[in-house]
Amino acid sequence: MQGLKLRFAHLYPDLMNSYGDRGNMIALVMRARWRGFSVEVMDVSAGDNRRITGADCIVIGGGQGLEERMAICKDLQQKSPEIHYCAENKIPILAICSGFQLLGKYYLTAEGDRIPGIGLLDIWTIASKRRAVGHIALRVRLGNMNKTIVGFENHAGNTFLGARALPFGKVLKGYGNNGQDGKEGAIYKNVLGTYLHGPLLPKHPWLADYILEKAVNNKYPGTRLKLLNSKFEKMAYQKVLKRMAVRC
Amino acid sequence: MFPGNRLKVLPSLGLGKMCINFSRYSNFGGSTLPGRLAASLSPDILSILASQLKEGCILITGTNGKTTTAYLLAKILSQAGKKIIHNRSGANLISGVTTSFIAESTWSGKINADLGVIEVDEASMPAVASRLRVKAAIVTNLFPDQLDRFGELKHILKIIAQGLNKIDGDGFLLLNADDPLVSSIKKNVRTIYYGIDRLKGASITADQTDIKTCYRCGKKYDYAHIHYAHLGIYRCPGCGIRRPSPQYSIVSHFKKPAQSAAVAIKTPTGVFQFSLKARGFYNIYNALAAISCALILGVREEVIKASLRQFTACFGRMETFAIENKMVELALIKNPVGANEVLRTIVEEDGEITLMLAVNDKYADGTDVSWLWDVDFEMLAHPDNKIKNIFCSGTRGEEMSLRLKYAGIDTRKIKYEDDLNIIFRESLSNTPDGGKLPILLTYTAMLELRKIINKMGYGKKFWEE
Ligand SMILES: [Zn+2]
Repeated sequence: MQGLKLRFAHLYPDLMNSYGDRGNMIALVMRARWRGFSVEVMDVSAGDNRRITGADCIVIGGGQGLEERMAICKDLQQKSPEIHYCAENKIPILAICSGFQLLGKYYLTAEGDRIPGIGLLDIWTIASKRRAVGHIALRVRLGNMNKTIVGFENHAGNTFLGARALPFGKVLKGYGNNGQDGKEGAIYKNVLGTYLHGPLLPKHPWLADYILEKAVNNKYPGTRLKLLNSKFEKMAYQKVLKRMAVRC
Repeated sequence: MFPGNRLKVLPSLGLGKMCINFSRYSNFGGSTLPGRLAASLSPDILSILASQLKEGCILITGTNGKTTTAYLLAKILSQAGKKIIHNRSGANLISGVTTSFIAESTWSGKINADLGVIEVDEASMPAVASRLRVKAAIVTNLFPDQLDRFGELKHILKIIAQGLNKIDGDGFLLLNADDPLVSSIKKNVRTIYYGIDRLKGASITADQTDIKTCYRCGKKYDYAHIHYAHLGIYRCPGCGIRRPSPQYSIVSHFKKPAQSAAVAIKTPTGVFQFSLKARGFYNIYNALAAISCALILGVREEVIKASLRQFTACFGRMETFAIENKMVELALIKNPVGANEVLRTIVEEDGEITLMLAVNDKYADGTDVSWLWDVDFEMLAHPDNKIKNIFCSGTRGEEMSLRLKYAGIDTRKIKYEDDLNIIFRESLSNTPDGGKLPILLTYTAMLELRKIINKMGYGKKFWEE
């Protein structure tokens, strides 16, 4: 795969990066580089008007508070047509926590203010008093894969899915989108939104490769990804599984 | 002081003291249990003991640097001839503070000290402050740290501010001007700021792990200069808030050989110059906070200089042990900013590096270890830094190893082993004679390793530290 190039866009890396969300971008980049791709990461912050439609994959992390949300919300409205364009053209987009919320229709604050999202995902979020914090385990079906995913969630918003969004996974342990319907995250085409923070992809290399393969195949159809040794990934994953007493 | 009250707490005090003695004897580093036990029997034991302090207490809180700042301040004030009570071991929850007072009191419940220098966990500020007479308080900084325990930063700020309501009318509040959240604290008490000026030769670097939007209006701050993370000289283009100009500011700082630095602080009355035997930006801030506080309290400059000469980094912050003919350096890590600073000091050294890392995810460590992915371990993979081996352990040692792999470090150099004792001995035997072994650990891993080192017959006991 020498000579093949990938271009990732990291949206708001300075504002939206809590609890190790950077780990997801690191996983995508390293797993592409280990396979011989040359990778360029474009950090796009608020006020940066460079086009992102040339990106092969887009990652948005989670922010920490309402301020970040407000600052990003405005900027995201301007980038909205480009992000929609990417999504419709099957560019994989990974959005975590408040990044996930902002891809939805709106976020209703505790004060009753309605912060608009970009409506890419058919979801909406309502602020809740109770913070959902802790380890979480999901059962996920993607393509022909049926896997258990572990992670950490930390959010004070309840998210609900409309008819056009599929859940990312079924909650085995933890809170999930809203603590009621047992659903976690949302999927639309190759857009994946989830509350699972940070090192989601490093501990689930198959998911990282699933996203990577989508990115590669849009650009270089028919390219297969080389298998990588995942001993370290497995050990870290197994430890959390054991910690949560979840069966694989 | 009401003698009747004091008599009332004697049985629980005795129990607490016995418990402390047992801990010392058994080498069981329980710095919180005695206090918790005594307080469960006599809830007002801390206020009764602390009310005997002639001059009240100075509280030090904030995310990073409170242990070192409190330690330095206590050293300076002791040097100035005051009798100090100080929670030295970093036991900074209410139980730990209570334990420190029990340890210092006589069996009849008397405290013979002038002043308390007390490091307080951010979330414990209201509970601790309400039981003490607060003469002054220092807030060092606020970083995202163990957020799964504390919720958001602004929430922590509120809790800290609540604790600060207790400062005496003639007391003072000492705040870090360079931290936008900290400097935003407004209290009806004399408020003094400290900070670092833009230093010659320093470059603007921006970590990406931190808040840089205005806590009031959400606009991005304009930084004339960033010292590290979000600490710097800022102004908000939205609402106009800006860094208050500090009364105590570092105006020059030169690195000298042998891990030391020449520093100058501008004070309201002149310039105070001193030499500090510790490098790393965080130690400069710690020294600045402690020195400013001592100067405000009227301590003479010669006295401060004399105690700074004796300063070596204290518990948990780059503490060194000589084991066999090797130097072992322990550094507590708990958030990305602190860990990055430690890593920077490690890679500054010449020669090959053997490193050990132990990461636990127990309650006191923070149960979410995701922040490891925000630490720039990538700097270890830089070709200039010759990494020989990295040994990983702890309840989340696997995640630590994985992080290193993704930082770009050759997996053949990464060794994981569950047993801390085994990995420590292996790390030691891989360290060359006369060489240095830096060890980065989370809080409970640090306690475990201290025990191992003590059992091997090296190092001071936890309590005598
Ligand atoms: Zn502002």
